Amino acid sequence: MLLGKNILVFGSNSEINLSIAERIVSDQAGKLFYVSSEKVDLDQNGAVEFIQLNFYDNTELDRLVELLGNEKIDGIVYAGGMGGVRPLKLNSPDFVSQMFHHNVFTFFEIIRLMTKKRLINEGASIVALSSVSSIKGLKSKSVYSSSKAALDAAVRGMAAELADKKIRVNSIQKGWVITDMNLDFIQSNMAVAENNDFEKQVLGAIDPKEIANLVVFLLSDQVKTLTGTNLLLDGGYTL
Amino acid sequence: MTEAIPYDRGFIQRKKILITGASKGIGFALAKELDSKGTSLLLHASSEEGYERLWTHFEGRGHAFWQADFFKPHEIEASLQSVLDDFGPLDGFVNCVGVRLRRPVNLLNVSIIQDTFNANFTSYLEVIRLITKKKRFQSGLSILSISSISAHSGAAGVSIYAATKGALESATRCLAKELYKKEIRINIIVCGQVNTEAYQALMNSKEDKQDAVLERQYMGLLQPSNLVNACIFLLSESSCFINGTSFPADGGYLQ
Amino acid sequence: MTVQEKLNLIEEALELDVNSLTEDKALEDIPEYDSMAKLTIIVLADDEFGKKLTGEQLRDFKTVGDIVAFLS
Repeated sequence: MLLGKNILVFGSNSEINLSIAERIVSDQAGKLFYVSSEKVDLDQNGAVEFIQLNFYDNTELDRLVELLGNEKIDGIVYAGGMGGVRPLKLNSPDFVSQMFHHNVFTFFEIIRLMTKKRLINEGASIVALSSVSSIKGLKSKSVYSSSKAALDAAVRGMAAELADKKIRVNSIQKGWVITDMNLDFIQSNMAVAENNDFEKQVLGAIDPKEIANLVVFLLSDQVKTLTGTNLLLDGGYTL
Repeated sequence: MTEAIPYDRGFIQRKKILITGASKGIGFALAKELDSKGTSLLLHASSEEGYERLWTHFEGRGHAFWQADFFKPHEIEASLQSVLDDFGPLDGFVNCVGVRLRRPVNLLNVSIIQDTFNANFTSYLEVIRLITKKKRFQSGLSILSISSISAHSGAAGVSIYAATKGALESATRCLAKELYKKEIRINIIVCGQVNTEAYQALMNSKEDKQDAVLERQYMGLLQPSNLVNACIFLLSESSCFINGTSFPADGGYLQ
Repeated sequence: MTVQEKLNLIEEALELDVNSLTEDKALEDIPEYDSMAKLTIIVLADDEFGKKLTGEQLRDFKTVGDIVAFLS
């Protein structure tokens, strides 16, 4: 589906992100640039061009343009961000700043930089990974959830703005993913929760490969008029 | 201006209510209405001029005043503590601070984004954290803020503004679940295009004087009094079972 | 930080009156010690002491003193 398309992925070396990268390669994309501050162990016979860069740092991000070497991009996946639980009474402006910087501001900065430098081709597709938390309230996740809601709202605004260049912007509101279970903050959240939040996801936890499938579908030309939406992939969590 | 809501008569006058961003727009209209009903108000303005305006308008009516720059959330705690010590526990809090940023994506930078979030979101959260501490509120405290149809619809040039409002709505849902045990409610009004001074100024600056929003907002331009009534309803016990909602006052825009 | 200071920190986190807690107080006798309070303790341990408190560890705590002992 991605034949010949140049794709840019931002994110850690989490299993979800690796799945996305593998799936993009298997779809015979043109070039895949994987931007991460962590070392990414992904041997795909040289099909992945790994760019080690702390993209949360704005000055480092400026270097991206030269690292891409004038290569124009047909698809961007923003899979960066952070999680974290924090009851309101222990909240602080610094925590809010940090969360929003990772989950929202950096995404804006990337798209600003890429559009300003005209590095995005007409007809390109931008996909941001959001969370079902954006639309469902959970105790102690107000800052995380609101950062994802901000991301979802930003997607709509950008879609309206970039429509004249035929650039599409969408987000995926994902539910619990199998690999989430190992995350520290989710472990502690589960340990203290009175009812098990996972059980609300009636179809069970999501396989990272399914997220990768949806990302690739959104990056492709299969549905060229799909833009400004937040696609719910939540295993029935919100039912 | 607005008609009194019959089932609320006499109720709101016994209450202590904090209004942030009270010096203009919806905040000012709400302050005037609650003042006329005899509510005890703590009126906030971000700027020096705003504070002056509140002072000129409401001096000698038994209200309290608070100035704090919402662009600087770190400074809120210090100034709000002492103001609350004098004012006493709150029955209501309405946040009307909202910086309307219009700027295309390629002209944004992180410091503009950060500033807008500080003013529209982070400071609000900080105020909520402080007023939901023990002895700072009465049971039944109702918290309210103002969102916008732009958080739902997507228009060019307002992606940051819309993102701050989306964040507010999501936080509202989470905090409702976090605070209900303290008998605190929190809701948010999703408002359509309102006829404020800022709106008039914007329309005067446009050449064609046309507002495309009103094609979808088929009931026409919202008047501040419409929103004031919605606020008073959500502040009052009449809405005691409404919690964590995004309450539309959109003149039909979203449906 | 002294034991008393830690107790005060826990009181603040659980929104209890100052000096209402003692180390031998059983956690199950504190109605305010609910899931939100537990989460608050986890975040507090990280913020103030840089310590990761897991759900399992938290479940093993029986008294206020157990929390105090962990916060070091």
